[in-house]
Amino acid sequence: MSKRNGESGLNRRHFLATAAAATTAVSALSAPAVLAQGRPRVVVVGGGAGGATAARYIAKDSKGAVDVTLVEPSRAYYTCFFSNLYIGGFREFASIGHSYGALAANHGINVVHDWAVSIDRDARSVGLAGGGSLAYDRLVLSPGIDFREGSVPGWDLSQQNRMPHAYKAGSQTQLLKAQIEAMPQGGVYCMVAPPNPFRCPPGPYERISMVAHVLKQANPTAKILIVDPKEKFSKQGLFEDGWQRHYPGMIERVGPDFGGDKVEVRPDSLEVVVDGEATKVDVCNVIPAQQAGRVAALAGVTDESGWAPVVPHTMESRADANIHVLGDAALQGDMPKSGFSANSQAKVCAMAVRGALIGSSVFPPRFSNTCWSLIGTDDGVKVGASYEATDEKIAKTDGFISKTGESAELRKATYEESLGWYAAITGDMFS
Amino acid sequence: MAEPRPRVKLPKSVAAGIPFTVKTRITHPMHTGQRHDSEGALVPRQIINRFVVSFNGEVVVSVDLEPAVSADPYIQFQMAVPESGHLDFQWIDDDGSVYSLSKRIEVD
Repeated sequence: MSKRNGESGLNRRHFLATAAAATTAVSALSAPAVLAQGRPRVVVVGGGAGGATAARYIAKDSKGAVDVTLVEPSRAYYTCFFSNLYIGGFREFASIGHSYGALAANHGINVVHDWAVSIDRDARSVGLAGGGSLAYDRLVLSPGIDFREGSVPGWDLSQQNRMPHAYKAGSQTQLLKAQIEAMPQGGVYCMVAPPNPFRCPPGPYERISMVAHVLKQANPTAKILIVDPKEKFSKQGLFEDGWQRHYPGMIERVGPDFGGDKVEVRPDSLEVVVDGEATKVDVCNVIPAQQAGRVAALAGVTDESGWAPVVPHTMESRADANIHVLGDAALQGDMPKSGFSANSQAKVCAMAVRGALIGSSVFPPRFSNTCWSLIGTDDGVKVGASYEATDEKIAKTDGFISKTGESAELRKATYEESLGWYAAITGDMFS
Repeated sequence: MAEPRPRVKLPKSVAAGIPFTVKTRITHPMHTGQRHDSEGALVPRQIINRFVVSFNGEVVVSVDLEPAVSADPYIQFQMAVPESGHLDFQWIDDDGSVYSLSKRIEVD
């Protein structure tokens, strides 16, 4: 098991690199190459459902033959999935928080809490905000999402406390919940929903359900306004049926038919302007348009879409075969941007990386995804599919979705299935 | 019941005599009078029963709605106008309430 920090042993693999690349890598380094010479080095950037799973599977299944470093700025990771359930009062905040201790202790993963701020693809090294750098033979990028500047006029990151996004879980999620609980009786919660593609397609609408659940108990005359640039959304029939049953008259969605695609916000006055008409609200949850997490663009592996195209069989970047991109940041085809998808892609990637670096067996990839959503107490629904790798993309093979009119027992069972999944995936990421 | 919220979408400007599309919607539960609440009691009928549009004071669209119309009734139609003016929209509730909205339409 390796016990190094991120700054030591940086050039231990430089003899494997090309002469030109090695020169670049060595020039910035002074640490001696002493430990475990010859072990291939993998650096994983991003410790979420993609990155933590990939790091864990590469380290665990190579039984020490691959040197794995995980770069993640947060010491405590709060899952975006199930963060809506915290807003709805169905989970304690601590229950969606996880630490990286077990990855280091159980699998020898070198966990570096820092930001990756540069990628030198020729030298194969990752620069850290703290000043060090990490050399790699294979780099796995799983940076999640960042927001597109200017996508909602009037909003930028400096306004995220006035108008929280709560779309990266953590303090933002707590802030949004506190704002909802502080709403005046009869007040208005407004969500500015994102355009496609974005993280967790049913996520905004599960959040609406959870906000409605809270307001129905504490503030039953409050209203919910969704300003949405999209014609349609994930599980729309299921959500609208559930909203009608649980929260009649509370929720209004303004789609592009009525100007939902022409929105701006005024954080100072807490106003939302839809197609030129201003409305005063009490909480404004702005979920902006999204793109791959910034480090993917810094690595030069994103295209004009803002996402990183990948080879479906291995999750290798189409721009650089030494870099793999997982999860929300990847432009891969039919899979939704979900924690389940990222976890599924990470296992395919881990197998491909081990095959390339230490010659272990590689099997045809299989991918799967399920997105559960909670609409009200014990009223769970799901949508999911299986996928295969084609030359062009990750392609959907078959799928399933909950139906309206299902029995209360089935909906409860679906919700309980999601609890089991949460325990399983977080174990798969962090244990 | 939350206060119904009417919305109308129409072009900011139009050409005289050329048809354009008007979209309208009001949030309303449209209780049919045949449904039961969670305690088993009948929910009394309460619907938007009439929708009227006037252009410069003259009725141009009038619609009777029945209980089969689903919640948040959405009504879309086409019209043409000879000149600039005001479009007045009214939704009439079973309880006697009238929800209204007025929009200016400009002919280029």
